[in-house]
Formats: sequence, C-alpha cells, structure tokens
Amino acid sequence: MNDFLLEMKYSIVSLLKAPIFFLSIVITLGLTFGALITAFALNHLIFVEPLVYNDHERLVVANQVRVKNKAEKGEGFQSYPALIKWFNNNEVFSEQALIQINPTQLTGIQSQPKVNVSFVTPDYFSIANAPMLQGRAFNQNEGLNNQKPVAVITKKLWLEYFNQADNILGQTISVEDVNYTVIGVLSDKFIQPQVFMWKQESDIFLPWDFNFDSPFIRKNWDSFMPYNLFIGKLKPDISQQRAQLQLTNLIQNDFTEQIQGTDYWAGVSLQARLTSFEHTIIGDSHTTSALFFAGVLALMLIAFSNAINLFLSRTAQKQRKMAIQVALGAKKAHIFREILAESTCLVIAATVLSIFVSLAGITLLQTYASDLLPRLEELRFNFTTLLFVIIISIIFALTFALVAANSINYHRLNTVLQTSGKGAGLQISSRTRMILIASQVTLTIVLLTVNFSLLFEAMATINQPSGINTDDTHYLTLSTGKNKLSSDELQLHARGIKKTLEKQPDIASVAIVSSNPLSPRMSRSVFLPGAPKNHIRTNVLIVDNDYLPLMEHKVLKGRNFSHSQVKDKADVAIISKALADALYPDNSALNKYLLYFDKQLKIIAIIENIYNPSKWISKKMIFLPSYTSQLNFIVKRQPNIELSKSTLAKAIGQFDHNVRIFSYNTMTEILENKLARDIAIAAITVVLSILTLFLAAVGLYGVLSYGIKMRQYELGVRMAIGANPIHIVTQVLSDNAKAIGFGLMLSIIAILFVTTGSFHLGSKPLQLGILPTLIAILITVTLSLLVSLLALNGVANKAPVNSLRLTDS
Amino acid sequence: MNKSKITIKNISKIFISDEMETHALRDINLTIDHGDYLSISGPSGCGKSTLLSLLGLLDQPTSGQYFIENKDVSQLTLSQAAEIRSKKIGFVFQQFNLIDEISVFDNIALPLKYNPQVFTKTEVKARVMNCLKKVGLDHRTYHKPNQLSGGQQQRVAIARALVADPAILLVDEPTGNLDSKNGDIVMELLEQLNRAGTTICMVTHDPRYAAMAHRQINLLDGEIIETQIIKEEI
Repeated sequence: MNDFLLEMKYSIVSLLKAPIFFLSIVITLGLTFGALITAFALNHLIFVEPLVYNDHERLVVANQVRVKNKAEKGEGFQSYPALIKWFNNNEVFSEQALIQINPTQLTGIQSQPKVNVSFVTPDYFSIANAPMLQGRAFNQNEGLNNQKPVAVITKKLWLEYFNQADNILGQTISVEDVNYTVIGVLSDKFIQPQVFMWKQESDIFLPWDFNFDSPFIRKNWDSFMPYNLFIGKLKPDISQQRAQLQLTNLIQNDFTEQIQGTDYWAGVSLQARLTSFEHTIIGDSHTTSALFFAGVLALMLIAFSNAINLFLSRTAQKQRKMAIQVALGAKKAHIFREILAESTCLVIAATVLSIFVSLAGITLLQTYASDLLPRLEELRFNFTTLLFVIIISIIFALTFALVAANSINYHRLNTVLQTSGKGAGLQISSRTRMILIASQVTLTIVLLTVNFSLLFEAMATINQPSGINTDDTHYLTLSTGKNKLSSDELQLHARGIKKTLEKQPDIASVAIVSSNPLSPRMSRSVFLPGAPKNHIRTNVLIVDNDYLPLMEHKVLKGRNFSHSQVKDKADVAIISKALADALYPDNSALNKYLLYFDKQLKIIAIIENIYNPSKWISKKMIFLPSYTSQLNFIVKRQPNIELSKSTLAKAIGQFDHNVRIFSYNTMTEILENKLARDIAIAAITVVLSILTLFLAAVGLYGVLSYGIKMRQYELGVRMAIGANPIHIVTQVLSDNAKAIGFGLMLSIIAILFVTTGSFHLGSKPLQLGILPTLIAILITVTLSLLVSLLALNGVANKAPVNSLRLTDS
Repeated sequence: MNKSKITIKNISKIFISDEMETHALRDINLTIDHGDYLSISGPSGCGKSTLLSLLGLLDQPTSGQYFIENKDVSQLTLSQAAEIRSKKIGFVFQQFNLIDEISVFDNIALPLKYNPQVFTKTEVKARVMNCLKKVGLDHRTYHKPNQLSGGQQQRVAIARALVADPAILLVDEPTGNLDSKNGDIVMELLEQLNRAGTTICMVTHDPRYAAMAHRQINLLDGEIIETQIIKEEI
C-alpha cells in the first residue's frame, strides 16, 4: 500500500509536468461525470425512491372527467359542488382533503407582497406528512364549514416577512384584508405534494372555507376550475376501481339533474377518475428523466473514450521509460501499478470536480427545471449517489489502467531500447483507431442534431412575432380588498380609474380588459348559427375600444369596436383569424354571425392571431365589447419614460384609496415569462452543443494525435522519399476520411432510428429536422478535418528528420 | 542518370536543447561526383547520420552551403526540399521502412506518386518492374513486405530508392538489420548499381563494407578527420 501511495506521489509530480494532458482529462471527465452524477441522482429519485408520504401507495388524486360517447375530456378541471359531495359522502377514504391553490397578497404588510395560498381541509397535513416547526396544523374544528380564521405558514414566509419572530404563534396575518391567526409554522423539510397540473409551492395554508371561489362557482355544477382538487388515502380494503365507481355514483345523478336542458351538456356524464399520487406527481417524467440520463451518458461515453485515447497516447510516450524499467528488472505488475497510480490520481481529481459539478447541476435543475421534472425539491447528493460515484470512479481508474496496460507488449518493450526508438513501439490497431474515430463522430453528430433540433424549435418560438406590440405596455390588475363592489360598481370604477390614469402625463393610453391577452382566463364555446351542436372552444377577452389600437393588434378585415358598441355591449364580436377559419373555412366570416351562449353576434372584424408560447392557450379567440367588471387594464406609457408602480398607486389612490395594485408587470416581461422555457431550452442546447464540440474535439484530437504519433516514423519515411507537406496532409486526411465517413453513416442510421421511433422529450415527441442534421454533420466533419490538421502539427510542418529521429548509430 | 555533382561547403549543424548546444557537425567540406561511391564511418555520435540527413535535405544546416548540381539547396522550404528529394535523392534505411499495408509494387511506386512529374500507369509499371529486376525480386511483385525476408525487404527498399532515377542514393547502415549472408547480398547489389553508374553515399559501421566504396571518410566529433581513396572512380 505504501508503495502504491509512493507511486501516486510520483504520478502527481509527473502529471503536474504535463498540465495540458492533466487538465484535458480532468475537465472533460469531471464535467461529464458531474452531469452523470446529477442524472443518476434524479433517476434514482424518480425510478427507485418511494414518495415521502406515509402509505403513498394508497394515496390518490380524485379528478372529474366529462364523458360523452365514451370520449373523456376536462381532466384536471373540477366542479366545486361535486368536490363537496365527495368530501361529505364518500366511504372509501380513511383520510381526505380538499385543496385550492391561488396567488394572493399579504395586505397586512406594507409592501403587500404576492404569495401563494392553499386553502385546505385538516387532513391535508397528515396526508402530506407535514412536519411542524412550531405550533400545530389544522384540527377538525378548523375543517369544512367551521369558518375558523387560522393560518399555518411556511418557514420561508416566517423568515421573509416575520423576521423569524419567536412570538409568531398567535400573531395575525392579513390575506386580502381578512385576518387570520397563525397557529403553526411548517418545517422547511415539508415537501408539498405537487398534485396540480402546474407546479406551485404555497407559502401560507388557510382553511378551505375561506377559498376565493365565488358563490356562483360554489353552487354551479357546470363551472369547472383547475385550481381545486380532491386528494385522499384509500381505506386498506378499498381498491382504486371500487373507489372510482363509488365516487362516480355520488355525483353522476346530481350533475345530470343540474345541467339538464342545455344542448351543450346533452349526453354528457360526470365521472370520477382516480390516479395514484405517484402517477400524478411523476406523470410522464420517467421518459424525460431517462432521456436526460441517456443524453448525459452519451456525453460521458465520449469523454470516457477521449480520456482513454489521451491516456493511451501518454502511455505510448512513456514507453521508453518503461522499457528502461523493464531492463532494470521491473515486472509486469510493477508497470501496471505505476499506470494504475497515475489513472487513480487523474480519476480522483476528476471525481472531486465532478462532485462540485453535480452539486451545481442539482441546484440548476431545482432552479430552472421545476416545471419540467417532478420531486426536484427532494433531489440531494445522498449516500446512494456517493456510492455510485465511488463505484464509477473505481471502474474508471481500473479501466484506464487495464486498457493502457493491455496496449503494452511487455515482451517487446526491450526492443524499444534496442532500436533507439526508430519506429518500434506501442500500437493500437488501425481498426481500433477507426472504431474510436467513428464512434466519436457518430455520437457528436447525433447529440448535435438533437441539440440543434431543440434549439431551432425553441428559437422559432422565441422569434415568432406575438401579433401584438408589447413595447411600453404594462398589464395592471387592481383589488378593492375588503370593499366588495357589485358588478355595476366595478364597471364604473374601471371607467373612473381609466380616466384618472389617462390624465397622467406619463401615460399614453389605457384599455380596460377582462384579462391579459397573453393569458386569457375565460374559455367558452361558440357555434355557427344553425349548427348548435358543433361547438368550437375559444378563449374570450372582453375589451373596450382602446384595446386594438393600444396593442397595435392588426385588423385583417373589418373595423374596431365603436365607443357606443362598448358602452351598449352591442351584439358584435371581433374574432381571431384562427377562429374565423374554424367557423367559416371559405374565408367569408366578416359580417356573418356566430352564436355565443344564446346570443347571435355579428362578426365585425377579423384580427391577427395572438401567437402564445403556452401550449394551453388556443389561437382561437373572440373579443367582446364591454367595460368589464374586473379591474384589469393595459396601460401604454409614453415612449422612453419609466412608469413606476408607486406613480400608478398614487394616481389610483386619488380615485379611491381602497383600491390597491395586485399585480403590475410589463407586457414584455409577461411574454418573456411565457418564453422562459424556450429561452432555457435554447441556452441549455447552446451550452450542450459547445460542450459536445469541446469533448469531440478533445476526443478526436486524442485519437488522431495518437494515430499520427504511431505513424510519425512512417510519415517521416514518406517525406524522405519525396512526399511534401501537402502529400502528408492529404494522406492523413484521406485515411481519416474513411473513419469519419463510417461515423457519418452510423450517425445517419441512428438519426433515422430516432426519427422513425416514437421518442418523447417530456410530453413532446422528439423530432429531428433535416437542417439541424445537415448543420451537425457539416460542423462535425469540419471539426474532424481541423482536428486532423492540428494533430499533424509538428509532423507535416517540420523537417522530416524530426519524424525520423535519426540518431547516430 | 543525370550528370551530378554534390558540394557542401563549411557545413555545421548545432542542436540546441535545454539550454545546451551540441555541435553535431563542424565546418564539413565535401564533394561527391557523378558515379562516386562514398562511405562515411566513425564511432557512435560522430555525426554520420546528421550528415546523411543534411545531404538528403531531411534537415537544414545551421551554417554553410549545400549545392546539388550547382544549385544552392541550403535553405529551402519544406515543399522545395521535398521536390528535390523526390527527383534527385533516393533513401535506403537501416530498418528498410517499407509500408506493410501495401504491396512490394506499390511500395516501390510510392516515390513516383510524390514526384511532380506525372507518370502514366504504363510508365510506373515499367519503372517499378525495371527496378525490381535490378534487385532480383521481380517474382515478388505483389507480395506484402512482411512476407519477405529481411534481405529481400532491403532490396525492395533499394528498388524504391532507385525508381525515380535519383542523382544520388543515400544509404544508412544498409546491413545493420541483416545477417552477414544477406548483408553481403545487399552490398554486392549496391556495388553493381554503382558500377552501372549510380552515385552512392553510405553510412556504415562495418569497415569491411566501408572498404567497398571508392572513397571513405572518417568522422570524429563532427569533423572529418580522414579521407581515404580506396579505388579510383570508373
């Protein structure tokens, strides 16, 4: 052991004298191994580690689906009275909870910060294994219909807004002007179950009774909302199918009775669909996670083969030293121990770097991929990960040493000394070299093609014009807090605030809207007159006559709403081109009619589609004229002027001091937020492409320079018998071209396989385009040729004697 | 074969490594006429192979001048040197240095591929077969080098050196890797070639083979210490 440590000490000294070799291996191996460790930790979490919730195999999410002619739709959207029916009457759950999640404001704090609130029933905390830092969770006295204004807050909220006050329990916290008494603080170890379609952490938990749903939604069976959910723990003797049947039976009759008589719901039944917690939380992320691992593994394999090539090259360089050792009596085991000591030093350095890289990778995933992958808050560098790191590191060190040791012909080492280094030495066969080059080229082309395909797709989304001009515009939503106003009063308020804002010198114009045109919250069905059963689902935006000019939303045909049409809520509509094409495919929609509820609306204009990066938003949109009863505005500021929130708040306060700003963002920010995923994909693919090219360049350089080193004497002979530098370059390029061509062929087969197979990245099919493939091929082939030329440095551009190394005999 | 005269004037070669200067050759003056057969001898490290490298334009002198057929070739670019090597110089190495992957025929034809003059297939074949006959191996045309004995490989190497009809044959320890019988065969072949008009400059350790040349120069510490005329040129 002492001898081995001594060998390692010598190796460190030797490696420090070869810094380029050392850094090349440590960086390529460290970066990719780090990424592999991250991918391993993620896959272990998703595929192997059970959910942290007690009896998780019995935990389910109960969803409602609308079924018509055996076709299901609407999963993820719940009818409020149906949820309450389940909660009060089922006999299949031992524990159950209702959850509503919403953004809100802490109005008791000066800055009125926006936070997320979950309205829950008491069992939520036991189902979710919520550990308390202080106080307690809700008890049954704070359950349904008890109207107890209590709150449980997260440690994060306690730290951020209560400065970690010791006396937090019993303090009052004000949410939307309603006061709640804090009864508990959750531990930061609490992992909130991500059971909604979107991933969102809550900062504060309030009793279900105080949820934001209006009385209308609370009693209407045909209003389906995505932010309400039912979760439960099945009794041990109840199967999922049986529970599903009982829950369906509980709501089916009520639903049919409540919605009967409307054409839209004719033949539709409401049914329960139970999904396990595991399926709900992880969803189709197994594929994404596995693909992530596969992609990183491919990079790792490139880096690994690169490192082996470089290591072989170094072993070849050390053959003379080893020959002297053999001549002095070194046995095969001595030579192997020396090689193993050096590979161990390299792998230790690379592993240390890889651990830092993996920790950074885990943080990056948690920061930027929480929308794409589940359970990331549980992702840790744990004991299993450490074990993985140790095993793989040992495999790396042993593989390097074994491959290098196998490349040495121990019995021929003495000939190295006998021939004064004239052309004899270590060799890996030209076939092996060809396979190494071809594999590098194949992996590089495939990885670049995947990266470029994703990059091009993301860039197309990012560069797609939105159809509206978001420059200098802000989206503003206001709240009246405790001061509840009627619909008519709200309309009057909206017009009054609009007039107040328009008087501000920094503001160019203001439009009243029902919601942000990039996130239209209302979705309804429209019909062609005479075909009431053929409905088309569209997004609805209620706007005044200033909306179109303010947003520079292009009118393709027709005209804008007039002031009187807005004031009178006239029976007219402006529709997007997508909806016009759906209603009247013969391009004749203008001045024709559509049915909206029971009203016949005249189509007075067709406008450009709003291109929305969110896959949930349809391009089919209808714009209706009215002063909406919601205090939502689009504000266009004067060019080159900053419009601060405080300026706006002051102006609004002059109109009504009870009205406060709920949200205030530039439209450009909102658009960029929607593009965040595509921007992240673009950035990641660019980084991965550069990393791939770097690894490929190092790898190819390793193989090619090794190959040239092995051939250097032969090339010297060619030069001696008359070959000039161009002949040498041509010879080497033509030899390498075979391997590169072979790699190219393999990569095309792999790309065709991926293209024809049904591979998915998340929920999206992986599509590889022709242009990305061609660019990947072009870049890889160019890189291979450039690296070939680089590897010839010192041979073709030097006098032949350098290659021949003629020594006096 | 072309009329040729090789002259080197005050050639020196200094190798610099790790801040140490090694004078491999000092002020060497030498003339090789057409049809000459010169042997260079001396102990290890005396500069024999360095001199051969300079004569073969494999390296450049640190100082001095080198003329081939009255043309100064002391400071040529790599490409210019390669062109002269392909046309005027033939090399024979101690290790034969044939390329194992290609046949005897292709090995011999290789210098013609690098020659700026374009040869037709018929011309290439004629030249290769002519050279193979000269070295007595025309029955081994399509064998691979590793199917031949050491002596045969060296004869193929000599054929390769002759194929472009060079002005001079530079031969580095031609018998160093051969047994005495094969060594004798190779030396006899070189003598025959010289008798037929080939100019030869040979580095050898072996005094027996050195004595087969017309002139023998002895080097010591990078300087010519003796020039012996063994026999008059024919």
